[in-house]
Amino acid sequence: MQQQHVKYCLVILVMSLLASCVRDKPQTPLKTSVTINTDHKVLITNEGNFGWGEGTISLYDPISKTVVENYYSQQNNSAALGNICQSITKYNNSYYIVMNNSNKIVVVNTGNFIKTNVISGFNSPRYLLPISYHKAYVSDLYANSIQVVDLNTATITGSVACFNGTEEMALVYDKAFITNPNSGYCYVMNTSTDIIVDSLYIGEGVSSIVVDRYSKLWVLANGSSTGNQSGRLIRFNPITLNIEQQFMFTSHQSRNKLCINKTRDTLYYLNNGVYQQPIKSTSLPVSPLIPQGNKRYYGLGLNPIDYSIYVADAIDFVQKSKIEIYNPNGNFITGFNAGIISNGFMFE
Amino acid sequence: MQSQNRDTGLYRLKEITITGTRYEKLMSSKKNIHIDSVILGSYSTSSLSDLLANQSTIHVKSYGQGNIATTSMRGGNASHTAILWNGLNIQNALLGQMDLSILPSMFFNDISLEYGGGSAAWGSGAMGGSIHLTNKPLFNQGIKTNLQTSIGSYGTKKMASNIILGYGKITSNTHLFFTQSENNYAYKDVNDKMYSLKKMSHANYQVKGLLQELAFKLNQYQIMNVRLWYNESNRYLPSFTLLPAKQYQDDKNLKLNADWNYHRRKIKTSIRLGYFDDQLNYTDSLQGIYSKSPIKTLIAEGDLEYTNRHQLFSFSINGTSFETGAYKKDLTQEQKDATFAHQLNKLAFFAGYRLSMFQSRVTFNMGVRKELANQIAIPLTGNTGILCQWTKHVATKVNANKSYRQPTLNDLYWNPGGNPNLKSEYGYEVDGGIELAYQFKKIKLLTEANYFNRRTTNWIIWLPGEYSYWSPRNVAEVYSRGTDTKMELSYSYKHWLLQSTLHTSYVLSTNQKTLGENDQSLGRQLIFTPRYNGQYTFLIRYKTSMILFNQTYTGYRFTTTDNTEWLNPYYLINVRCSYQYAFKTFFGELFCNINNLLNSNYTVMPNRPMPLRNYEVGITLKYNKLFKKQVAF
Repeated sequence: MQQQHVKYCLVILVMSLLASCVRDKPQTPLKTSVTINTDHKVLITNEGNFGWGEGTISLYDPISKTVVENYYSQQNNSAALGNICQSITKYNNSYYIVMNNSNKIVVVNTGNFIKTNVISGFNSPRYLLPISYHKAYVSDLYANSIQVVDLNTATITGSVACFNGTEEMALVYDKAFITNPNSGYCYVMNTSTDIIVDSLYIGEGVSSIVVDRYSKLWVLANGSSTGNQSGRLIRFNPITLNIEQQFMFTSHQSRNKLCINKTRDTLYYLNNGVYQQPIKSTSLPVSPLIPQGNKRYYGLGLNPIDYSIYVADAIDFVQKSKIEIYNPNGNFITGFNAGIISNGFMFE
Repeated sequence: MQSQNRDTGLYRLKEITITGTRYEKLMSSKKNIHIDSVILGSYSTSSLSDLLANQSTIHVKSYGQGNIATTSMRGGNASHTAILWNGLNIQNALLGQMDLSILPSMFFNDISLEYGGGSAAWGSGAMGGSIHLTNKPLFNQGIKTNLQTSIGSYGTKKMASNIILGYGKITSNTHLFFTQSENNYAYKDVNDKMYSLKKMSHANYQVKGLLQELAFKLNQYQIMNVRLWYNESNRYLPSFTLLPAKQYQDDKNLKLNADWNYHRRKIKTSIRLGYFDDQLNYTDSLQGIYSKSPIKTLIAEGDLEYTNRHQLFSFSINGTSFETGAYKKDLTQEQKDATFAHQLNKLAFFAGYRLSMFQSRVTFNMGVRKELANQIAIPLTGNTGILCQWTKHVATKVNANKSYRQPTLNDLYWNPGGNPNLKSEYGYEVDGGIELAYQFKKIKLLTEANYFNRRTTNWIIWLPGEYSYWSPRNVAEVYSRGTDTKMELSYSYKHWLLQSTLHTSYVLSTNQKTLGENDQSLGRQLIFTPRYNGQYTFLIRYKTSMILFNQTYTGYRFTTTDNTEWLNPYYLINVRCSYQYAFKTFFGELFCNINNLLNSNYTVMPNRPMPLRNYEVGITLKYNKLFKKQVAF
């Protein structure tokens, strides 16, 4: 009797254990064959998780609305790109993919995206600014310098001492303007001598810079809680270095990714939502063009072909980002998933 | 050998025999796994992370051999496992986790794993489970020395020794541990098809430790223990696959512990003190990071227990103070932020009750804990359970608890981004299990299966906030449920001992709350949390020769919260052979370990390759001598 009792117990136990199990092997997403319209495509840089994730490039075809994930891997025999895909720059039939935490820049052919070279020896590279046919500057998060790169030989040929933490750069009137959020300055580099010749104080957290249709520079500073400084948007004259216009933000929100449209007359930036501001405007916009809601916008891009606005929602920063496409009026058109932590776009 | 001491009929799980700890009798309704002493002895040159990874279903998240290793128990993360040393929580309150790779397993003569929430007894962090590391005092042992030394693959040298001197009312137990490795192991780089076999570089490490215990039997009612533990490790941290690395981590941990225990008739009382000085220095010269994370912890705990024939009443008070940086009372907030000088004080009150009914066949227990803290709010926690011994072969357990984890000091005060308004995470858990025990002549069978179900709210995650600084928030909700099983079969006859142990764990731990409309993580498994985990050990001993055959399986682990990317499962086999020869009071033992026998290429964490097949050979010298005159009480 007692033995029977035990047997029932065992059977119930085993059954209940089995019943609750789920299949462990995850479903691999079906690979659909994608034909990309090479005339018009969007490359998306996905950082990947710092220290352990893979940085990737997603390729999106706005005509067929199809996405190729991990495009680099697909074209390069399943090779990994590295950690923290920070930015991509097109120059001389090559894409320069800056891999921040892998301390390198991967050079790929624009036609087939096959790796042609690697520029290594950086500390923590962020952005590449082509200066002349052979020369480019690379900003760096931790190095106390800007690296000078020979694009022909794919080597670092020199460095220019600069306060650590340089970010986005812009080239105008043969001068390179380099933002530095740590010092709050925008440095001016003579591109023929590679010497920093001047600087202009913008404000803490300055990291993005664009050139408008009148060749004036616009810089966006995030502000900081440690320096108790508010964020600001500033226009200055690249020749005189005079600040011509200054907009102060009042909230502590994060603001970044300053972009300019194709006609270079309207600014766009993230500030808990996508804000649109004509360069002629005399005040900050009151409300966002695209409210963020419960999303976490992290990347912003403006498609020069159809003027559409691409915004990346990084969600929780540990899953595939959602890319949302809006028309110039801020109406949602469509969306798709890209890689982990999408931070920027390149349109062709 | 633990398994030989079991009585033939009714089998009960061994109670946790933590010296002077009042909770052991209040936790009998929970699942508990005791590491067998033979197994523990076989891992004396290993770290606690290696022991747990191979001998339990706790998922040990190792970043490579010798590198940082933390735990995941029952679907929680590293900060949801409490690590208790002689009943005191040694989890680093600054980081909220403990690196098990630098804790030598041979420092403890008793290791047990308590499954499920136990905050009522142990306070913060005991949510997924608790790991109990205990030093039981051994009296009247005479002289007992045990010196072990080994060499292994990748320039690994290890030394572990234990010297016990026990005479009469006083006993001294000295543990020394040293391990050093070049750690330049070969691994296969799956990302590089052309040059797949590579060597790990910048991964060498050194760990050394000393634990000195003194135990005094003051009289027949009182025992006092004093312990000093110093542990130091210096490690080169490899960057993930192929990158140049300039990262170093130095850990220095000083731990002092004293307790006084009094037990006379129905009254039992004890006082415990602990002082821990933990330092973690991390350097990354490439990125200009020279981070120091010092934390000092002071714990004072007192308890009183009254037992009569059927009942037990227990009360205790615990005062804990954590101090980081150069904390002084009169610092301004700016100075505190600049030097990371913060103090967190907690005062806890615990009350417990146990009732035994029907000739001890039914035991009911409950406990409740109230904590007060100067910086954070801590919820009331509690635990209750019933253990029923239906027949001499069958027992069932049911347990319910509420447990919590306090935010770490980094969560609260990290500058910039720390959030001083964080609340504690808390969870409600129910679990139940059945135990079956049989004996047919020389064969013993023991089976145990448990189901658990826990919901955790206020789960802390870091997201970018003001000025883009990453900042922690109480936003996630996690539902964890699953089963743990254990099956132990042993056979002993004359000089033979055969023992087979299978542990499995099945855990679904899913996110229950979305962060926004695009969030695809709802209902998905938490990252780095395997659903399936299994561990099997087969031991054959004949006289003094032994073969230990150990297998572990770890299922898929997701690396993204939407579960679109994952790491492949791994299956590992380790074999250990040993032979002992005795010359009167001297013993010499030769042993040989083959790790990763199948030469599996695997990673536990992404881009952190683990070693392929590797070897260790060593020798143990033992000398035991009892003093002629034993002192009896």
